[in-house]
Amino acid sequence: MTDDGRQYFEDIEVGEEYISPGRTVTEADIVNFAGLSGDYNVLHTDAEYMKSSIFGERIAHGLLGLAISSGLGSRAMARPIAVMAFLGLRWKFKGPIKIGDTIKVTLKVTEKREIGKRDRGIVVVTRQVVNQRGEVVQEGETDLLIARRK
Amino acid sequence: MGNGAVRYFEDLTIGEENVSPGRTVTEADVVNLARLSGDWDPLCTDRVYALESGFTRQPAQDLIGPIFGSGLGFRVAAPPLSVLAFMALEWTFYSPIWVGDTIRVRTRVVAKREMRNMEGGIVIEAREILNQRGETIQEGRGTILVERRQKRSNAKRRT
Repeated sequence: MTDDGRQYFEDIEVGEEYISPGRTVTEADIVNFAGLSGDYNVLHTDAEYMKSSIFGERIAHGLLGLAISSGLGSRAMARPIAVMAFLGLRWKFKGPIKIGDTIKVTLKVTEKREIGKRDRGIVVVTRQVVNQRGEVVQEGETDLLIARRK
Repeated sequence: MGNGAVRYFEDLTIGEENVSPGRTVTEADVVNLARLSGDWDPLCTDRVYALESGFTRQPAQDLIGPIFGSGLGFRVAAPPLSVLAFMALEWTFYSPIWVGDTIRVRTRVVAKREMRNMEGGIVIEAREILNQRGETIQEGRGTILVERRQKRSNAKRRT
């Protein structure tokens, strides 16, 4: 088969680790995510209200962190993975992402599973979202359906 | 609180269920999420690649489900929860969301846990993403810290 530059199920090995570039989360990101999701919760959109909260300021939506981490994850690998579908997610939001924080994602392949269909398999990737102080602000596992080489 | 009409931890009843209005997933949504996340998954952003990969229609990003579900959850016919923090999400994706599908979220309170010495209590909410045919295409559970109306109760309470 021709090499299309992608990593297929056979190419991925348990234990492989990747680290992404950083991305600074801005106020614009939070405003855009509120607009896209429709989640205008005061946690993310009311600077005055949040002054008296435990965070002291607006925080990014947890799911914005997850969305940005999917983009960073795609930038962590020189060869993109031939993902057919996202199957499952087990995710913890451990701490806030604040405006101006810079996050990176570390990825580790923790499991490969053969399934009945022979043209694909499941890969479990464990991810950590780490801020500029080295604190893990989000982490969890993603189950991905990956194509095999034809 | 100056926070508008909200519901507190004490206001929630286990088993209570809400269904949101629908939202049609558009091509604009797919492009906007790709721009914002930086994840240009070719299945969702390269129609030629998607067709070559065996798709007959354009799928949206799977993450559209939990993301739109969170916004739709605020549009149910009940005041929003006073959320202090979103703590965890477990999610299963059963089938693709296609551009043009209209999705709703059905939420149900499945557990409540008092947290002593905290301003809130833990609520576990089941969320299902339904398409226009009423099929459950994604589902999962969110763990949310919800503000208490009564701030600091040292007495043991069970709800």
